[in-house]
Amino acid sequence: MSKLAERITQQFGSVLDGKVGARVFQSNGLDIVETPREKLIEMLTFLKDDPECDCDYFIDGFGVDYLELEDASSERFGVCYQVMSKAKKHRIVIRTFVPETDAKCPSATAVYYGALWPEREAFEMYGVIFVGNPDGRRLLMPEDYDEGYPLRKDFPLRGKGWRDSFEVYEGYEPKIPTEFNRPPPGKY
Amino acid sequence: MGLERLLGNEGFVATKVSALINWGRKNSLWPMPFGTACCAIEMMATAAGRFDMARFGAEVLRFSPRQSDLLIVSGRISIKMMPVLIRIWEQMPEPKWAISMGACASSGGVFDTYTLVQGVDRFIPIDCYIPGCPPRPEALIDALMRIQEKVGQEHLVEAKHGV
Repeated sequence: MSKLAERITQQFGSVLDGKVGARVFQSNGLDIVETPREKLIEMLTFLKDDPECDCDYFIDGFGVDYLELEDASSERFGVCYQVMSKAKKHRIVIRTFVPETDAKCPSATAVYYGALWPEREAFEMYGVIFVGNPDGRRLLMPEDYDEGYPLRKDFPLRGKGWRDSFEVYEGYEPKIPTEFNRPPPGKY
Repeated sequence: MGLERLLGNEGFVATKVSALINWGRKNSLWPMPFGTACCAIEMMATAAGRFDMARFGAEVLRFSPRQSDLLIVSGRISIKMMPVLIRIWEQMPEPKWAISMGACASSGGVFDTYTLVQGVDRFIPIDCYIPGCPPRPEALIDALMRIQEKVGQEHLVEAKHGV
């Protein structure tokens, strides 16, 4: 276990009880911390602000669908954030699980603003809603795409027939879900 | 240039107007490159010195649809990109021709997925298809020569794409 993982364990030891969804382990030489989603923002803030962690660089954020994984926890979706420290040269993955029935996750954009686009992608590909993400638009698919969430494991590869019947639209006004707290224009 | 001697020092030549105009058109095709994937690399190689599309009068590869008359769709076209391609096709003035270069543009290729257009000919009229993944520059040159043959058979009074 690296110093960074030890520091996390020291700080959040009461939360990380060693079960799936609240544990620290290594995979391929990379430390992975699984945390309940209630503690996600607190942990990312700690990683960023603590001088020993000093994780000032947001590498990636993505969703995972654990539908067919044998030893998965009861929750279906995973949300991962990978952050690193440019000065101390260490990196860590923070993973949290989100159930299918209540697919909501607190947004990391308040801590790392670089999470904006990865969260938009995870939203449109897996249907995980990031509460607090200031931009609720889709990232990659057309705005009027209505087949569901394409990267879910139970989504057919060829779609559900939409690609054979879509209309070529001349332009569109983005539709913004009401779940999102969109700031007034001009702030970003 | 010695052309006068070939014409017998008469100073004029008799031909059809359509033959003259088609001769000019087919030897000065201005392609509009729409490169979205690896086929575009082969298209660039075709335009570069080793294969040299300029030998066929088609060296003006510039991203200006209003000044071009040959659309080369090279690469996979997603559903989100298709309206852009249609807009570019509509901006090109008549007469115009289109080449669908590579497996993806022609049929979707290996990307038989929810997000990809399965052949751009469902939305814009294609004059020449090139198979291959990606095709060699020789194949693009062959397609260009076939387009030239097609241009040579045009009649001036016919509207080509139904306008």
